[in-house]
Amino acid sequence: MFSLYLVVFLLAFTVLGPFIWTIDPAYQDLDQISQPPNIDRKAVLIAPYPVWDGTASHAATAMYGEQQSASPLQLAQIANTESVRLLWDNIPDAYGYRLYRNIFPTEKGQALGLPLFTSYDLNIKRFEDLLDLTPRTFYYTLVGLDKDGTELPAPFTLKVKVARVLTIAQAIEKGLIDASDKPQIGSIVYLTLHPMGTDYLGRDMLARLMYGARVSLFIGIFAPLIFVSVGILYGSTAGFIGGQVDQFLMRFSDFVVALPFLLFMILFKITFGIGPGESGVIPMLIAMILLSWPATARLVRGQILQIREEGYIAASRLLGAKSHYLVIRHMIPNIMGVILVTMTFAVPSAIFTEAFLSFIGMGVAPPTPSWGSMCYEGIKTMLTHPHELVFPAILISITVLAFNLLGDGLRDALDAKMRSKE
Amino acid sequence: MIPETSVKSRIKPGNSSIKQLLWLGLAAGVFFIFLALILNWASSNSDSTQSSEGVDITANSISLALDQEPPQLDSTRTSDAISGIILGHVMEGLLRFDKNKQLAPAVAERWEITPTGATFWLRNDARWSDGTQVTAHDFIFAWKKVLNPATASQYAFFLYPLKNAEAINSQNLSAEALGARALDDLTIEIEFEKPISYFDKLVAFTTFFPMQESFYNKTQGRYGADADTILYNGPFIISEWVHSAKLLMEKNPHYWNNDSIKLNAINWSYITADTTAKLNLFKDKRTAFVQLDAETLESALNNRWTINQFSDGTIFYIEFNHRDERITRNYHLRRAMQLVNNSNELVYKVIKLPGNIPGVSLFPGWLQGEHQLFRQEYPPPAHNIDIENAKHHLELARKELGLEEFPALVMLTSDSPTARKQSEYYQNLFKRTLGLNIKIDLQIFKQRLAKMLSGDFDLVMGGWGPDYQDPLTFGDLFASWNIQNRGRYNNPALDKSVRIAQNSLEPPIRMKAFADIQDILYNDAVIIPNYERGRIYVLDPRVKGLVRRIIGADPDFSRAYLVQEPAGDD
Amino acid sequence: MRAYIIKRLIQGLVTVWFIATATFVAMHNVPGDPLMDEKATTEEIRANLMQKYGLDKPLHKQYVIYLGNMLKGDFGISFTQQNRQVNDIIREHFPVSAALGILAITFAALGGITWGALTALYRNKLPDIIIMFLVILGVSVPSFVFAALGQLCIVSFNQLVGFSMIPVAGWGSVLHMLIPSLVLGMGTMAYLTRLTRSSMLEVVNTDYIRTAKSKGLPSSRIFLQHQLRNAVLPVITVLGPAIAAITTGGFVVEMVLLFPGWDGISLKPCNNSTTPSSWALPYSMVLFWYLWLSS
Repeated sequence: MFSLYLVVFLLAFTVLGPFIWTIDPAYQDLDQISQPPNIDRKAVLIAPYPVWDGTASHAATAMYGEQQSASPLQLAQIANTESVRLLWDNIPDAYGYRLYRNIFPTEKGQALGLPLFTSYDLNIKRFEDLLDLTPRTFYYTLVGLDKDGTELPAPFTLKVKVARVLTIAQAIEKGLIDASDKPQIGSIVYLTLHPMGTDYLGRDMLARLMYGARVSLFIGIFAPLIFVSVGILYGSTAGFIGGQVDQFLMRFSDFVVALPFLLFMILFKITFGIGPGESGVIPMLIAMILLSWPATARLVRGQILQIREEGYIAASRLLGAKSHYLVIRHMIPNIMGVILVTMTFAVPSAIFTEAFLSFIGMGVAPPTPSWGSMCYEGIKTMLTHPHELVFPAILISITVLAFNLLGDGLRDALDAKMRSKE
Repeated sequence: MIPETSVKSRIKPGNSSIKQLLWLGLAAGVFFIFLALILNWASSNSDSTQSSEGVDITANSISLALDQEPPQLDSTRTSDAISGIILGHVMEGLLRFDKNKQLAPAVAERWEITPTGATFWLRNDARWSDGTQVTAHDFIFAWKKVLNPATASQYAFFLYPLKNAEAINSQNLSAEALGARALDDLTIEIEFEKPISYFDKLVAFTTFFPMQESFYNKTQGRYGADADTILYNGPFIISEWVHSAKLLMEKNPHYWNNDSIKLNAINWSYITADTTAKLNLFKDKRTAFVQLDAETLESALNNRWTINQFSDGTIFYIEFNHRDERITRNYHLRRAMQLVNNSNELVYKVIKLPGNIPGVSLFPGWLQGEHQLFRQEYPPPAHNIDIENAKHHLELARKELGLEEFPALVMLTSDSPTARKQSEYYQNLFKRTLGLNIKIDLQIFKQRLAKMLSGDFDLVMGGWGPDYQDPLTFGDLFASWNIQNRGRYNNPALDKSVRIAQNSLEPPIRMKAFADIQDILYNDAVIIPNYERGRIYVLDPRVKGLVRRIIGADPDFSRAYLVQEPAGDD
Repeated sequence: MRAYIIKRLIQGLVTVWFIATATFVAMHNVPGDPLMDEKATTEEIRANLMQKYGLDKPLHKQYVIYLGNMLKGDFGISFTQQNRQVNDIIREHFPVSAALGILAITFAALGGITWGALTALYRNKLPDIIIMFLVILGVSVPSFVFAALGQLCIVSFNQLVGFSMIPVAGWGSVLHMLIPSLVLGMGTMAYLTRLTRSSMLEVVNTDYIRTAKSKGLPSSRIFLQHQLRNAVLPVITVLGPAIAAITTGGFVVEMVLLFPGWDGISLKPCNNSTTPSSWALPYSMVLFWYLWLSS
């Protein structure tokens, strides 16, 4: 009963998870944006960071001054995740400067990386880099520019190791240390643990997945369940009665399929009077049901039409079987396989429809997470931060797997039951 | 793992059924290929993208990807950036901006501007792509068409500096009364409605482009819909336009300054807004240029491409709703939110896209002042983050409004990824620092505009791209009569400064007025500036002479040229 | 026969009229109008535009004009591609989407039946488990991830080969359609695989298979004549809606892989510049014709 374990796991993850893992899913840890799991969380405490007056500190000169004295590009202070402060001397024949940052050592003739700063004011000979500083090694390159803005040859490169730091005030605000501990400058603290990494705003992935499960599982389970049931009812009625009624019912279902989905979603939202920022899960569910039953109805009708012609139905009818008996006893069980497959496959599509609607402002409002929208967001960074896509996708897969196995089991069980009665 | 059941009989996969299945699969595969070939043959006569190189030195051409299909290329009606790019390559107005962003003569050889009017003398060798001369009448015809109410041009206001233009456009005056006429084939005389200090900069804009009357009449209302329903007078002509697929340009043999054009062809071979697809095309050397975003940047770094940066001049900010029934009308509430704003954190940690500059003022840093840059002459008021003071203002606001507790504020935003990220960041920021609850109202384009117009918001993520090269394009945004002022901010002091800037011809007086506007916007906490948008892009190193500019067609490849593979590569 | 065709035609027309009316009503109840733009227009210019597009007339008059134009086969002027009639747009883009759709559906059907039969034959054995795992992955990951991955694979492949063997994007040859049709058909293929498996297993247990076996028919004949034939029936029933799903789902793929297809055009307005307005109707119409033809 593997499928049962999966269902129990999903339920526990959704219901009990938030009690065990109590991090607020909306909390933004801006020091750990898009961090994969298992990073080095060590940070050094520093004093409050003053605005830079443009001078070099002794510490930096002592650390870097000696070995790099040949290069005009110098670090003004020790580089850390708060800022990297750079100073440089005149470059002969230059009319301006451009500063690049790279993540590889730059070799001759190769691209220099990211242009951070360009200036034709020769008096400006310093730059403070604040952009997306992570604890890693950067290679800063300074190039002189000629009159037309063309880069002069012989750029100067400086290798800079960035250390992760936190000011004492920040550490207290984040709850990493207590103000009463009398924290010392230079002591080491550990940033908040995020076992599944963080998303694009530094929010805990695990917590978001747990909270996201509520919306996704709700929509993913109830929408298919209800619209497939409606479809079965509608399709079997049409297929069984046949004739004019069938024609009429089927034209109506064609009509519903052809309605523009998005347009009617907007209308539903207005009709239900959902204000901005309010969760529209229930209206979304209703709208999805109203608009997606026809596919199942068509499928069921086709199957019923086919089975209706079978010999055993005719035989049963001759024996005086009532219509509803025929449908319930013979027809529905015979198409159960197809129905279950349809239902299990409707689960992921419902989850993604929810995500799409939320993305254009018609589902749940931010910051409420859902697996589908986490997937959508993860796709953009698929190559650089795969964990943002992989974890929600795995959970959706597990859900689909659970339903597949459950469906299989159910069908087999039904099959066995039917057979034992014969 | 699948539960065992009471199913008794089961067919063993006999050898022969497997074999049959394999044959079946093979047949299916063959059928699939066959079908593909048939479809290919059937479709080959309709559309085909010629698979040309991103940079083709022998053909002297480049290949590029366009973000979107231009809605149409009728210069009198167009209002979007994509059409602007295309028209910038195939059309030319009286004046144009050169590579140093300075005004240069184009169809007009020389010009003269006085406080009451302007005169343009056209060169006599300017030709349309059918060989006929570009005359003064073509300009006058185009301008009258722009102002004709039946044209319904959205950018008709660009022509309002011309005498009687506004009256003609709002339907109560004959087009004959327009303060612009052709003295002869080569001279245009213009009369102003009122003195204007930046008219020459407007003339380079798309809406002022010429149009030949006889050709227009021949197209029977389909002008600009296809490649053959446009007459070109710019450096290039459109040789083929397959809608939503590609748009190919060839050098215009009739262009008057043909020697300055080096490329034989510019092929916009792909039309897509998807950045990953565009990156892949560049990687595959199918295109010569691609704009990057934060996600594709790392890939570009890993490929060791030379990355370029450019500021596109657009400023983004949070606008408050100043209507009477909204609590954001309260100064202290706005002040409190302004005091906790940290544009640095937003730009450097959250959006993380290099090239974006933290916003400090409504007036972006690139605007020219009297002698230097405007912001060097008049720096914006210093902004210090002060959470304690913010809380103090919040308390004052609570008392003034007579509230027990603040209701949740509605923040209207668009569905773009950056706007989403930004609004979630601010939602958290205001909650964390001030305890204010923000509801994010995410809306698709038209719904958002409708809500902005009706004032159905407390805060809205706004932005403004400049229309012309004068601080006034930003300066009049919050004048009480401006329809772009979605929050209905109404301040007589600010209105007064805007009027001065509009009516004065003296640069020092105007710049002082803009500085006053800048101060009012900060001191009264009218908006919260977020960032000035920057663009990063990669360009094939063999392409030189690309011009990027804030106003007008951008990117502009019309004067680009190719060089052999630079030495030192490989 | 003629009476039947006429009957179907009338039914079709009535349905189209219903769709047209519902769309019209919806269009006019959704906030925002097609003339709105990022930069607000003055009242005068707005009035000019309203007049130009006939939006200033009373609603019932607009409705009559709208229906009248439709009868003439004129779907009005597109707001996103001004100066071009909607008909032109349909004519140009519909074949592209149709070709892609046919290819994708063929791929999905053939692949789905083959894989499905294979899993049924190897029930609960390794091939079954592997294929079912892939099927679950196929439906749990949205199609644009496959689109992006497919594109990435081509780029890497081209870099490996040293020249651009398979085009990354665009429209022109079979090679251009390769990845889009695979990506587009992926979800449906997974569905059909699962469906074939399930209906084949159902057939395995029926009396007539047992009879056939006891008659001593060779298993290959039983497989081909009885099992597969019966298992394909539900697949064919599903194909109708699947075609509709594929042609509407296509827009994502077209967006990523740059197919100048119909779906991209008809859904584009919702992300950028217009309310679902004039496009909504032809879009529904096309969808409807699909369904109607497939029934």
